Amino acid sequence: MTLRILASIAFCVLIEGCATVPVGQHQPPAESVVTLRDSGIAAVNVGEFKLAAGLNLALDKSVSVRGNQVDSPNGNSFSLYLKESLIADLKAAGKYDATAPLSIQGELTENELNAAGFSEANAVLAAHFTVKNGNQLIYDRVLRQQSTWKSSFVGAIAIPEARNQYANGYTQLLAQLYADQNFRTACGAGL
Amino acid sequence: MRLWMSAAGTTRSRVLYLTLLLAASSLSGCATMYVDNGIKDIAPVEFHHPQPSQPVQLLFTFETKGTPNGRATESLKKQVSDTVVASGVFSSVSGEPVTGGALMSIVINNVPITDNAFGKGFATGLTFGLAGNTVSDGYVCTLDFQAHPGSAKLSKVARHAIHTTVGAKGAPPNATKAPSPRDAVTTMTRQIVGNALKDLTADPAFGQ
Repeated sequence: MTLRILASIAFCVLIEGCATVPVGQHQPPAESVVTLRDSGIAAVNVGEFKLAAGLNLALDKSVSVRGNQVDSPNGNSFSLYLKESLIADLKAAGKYDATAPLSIQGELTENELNAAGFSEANAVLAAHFTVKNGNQLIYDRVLRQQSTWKSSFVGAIAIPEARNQYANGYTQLLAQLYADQNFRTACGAGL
Repeated sequence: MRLWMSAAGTTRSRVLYLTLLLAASSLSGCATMYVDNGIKDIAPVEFHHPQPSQPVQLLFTFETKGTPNGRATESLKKQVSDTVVASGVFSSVSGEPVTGGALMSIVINNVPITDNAFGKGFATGLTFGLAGNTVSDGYVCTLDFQAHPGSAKLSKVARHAIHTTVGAKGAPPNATKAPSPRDAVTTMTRQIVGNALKDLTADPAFGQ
């Protein structure tokens, strides 16, 4: 029996591997940069980003895919990853100013990666974004990004694919924010 | 085979045997990478150099089957930037906005060419390399350039491939053996970016 258990573990390791891997640092995509650049918004600051109150702290630190941990390259926190991704996009578009009165804040409200299935996997991310002008709240919205993709029985294929798709969810979540006309107006577009 | 026959009597032995075989197959892989000769390095003199040259903002993304791959992007970002700098086409290359607003986006998408690559590699491993195979990876480089905000976008596409032989398999035709996997990827990146950039500079609309 012991041999069978050992053999099963070895088989699982061969098929899936076991490791902790950070997602790569966010790289500003051209679509987001051009959207922000041409949006007419003012240069903005980025304030506090954190896990929403009442949620399990582990939700902010890592997600799991077939026994592998996927974590953030930014301070072991996915809410910080979201913040740094936003700053990277704003900087690439020339719309970041650490001294601006307008500032964007965020709270991570959902963070899921489900890639155990052999045929399909999905990820869900959501964040509560606010924009303040000084102390005045001028934008307040929860945005949600759900992604679904074809998965594989083979861990060596499924795990990197899940990691890439999961990280891309942050890019897509931020793209929703940049496309929101209310967000643009709050950030000074058209003024 | 004799081992298999003698082990076939008990389930325990069979499970152990299969596991050892799988472990051996995964360790016995002897892969060699070859860069396709379809496109070559571009010398700086082959680029059309506009006068005066302008600064450009460069954005780079490496994709795997169309999905951004952050770790690979990080790994190749500097090399892509160095290739653009070495071309001498632009007066400076930066990740942030530049005077004049020129923006160039380079996306390299890794797409599978060989069907069932995992199955082929698995079969090679299972036969301890006797059943050699070649697996090919395709790369599509899309270069978009905008001289300034609001101007028309120029797009160029270049294609490349890396072939990997596993087990007892001869070198693929029309390809150059790479000293290491890293060399294969850096050579492919330098050549595919150089060729896309050369096409851009040859466009009469570029530099106007």
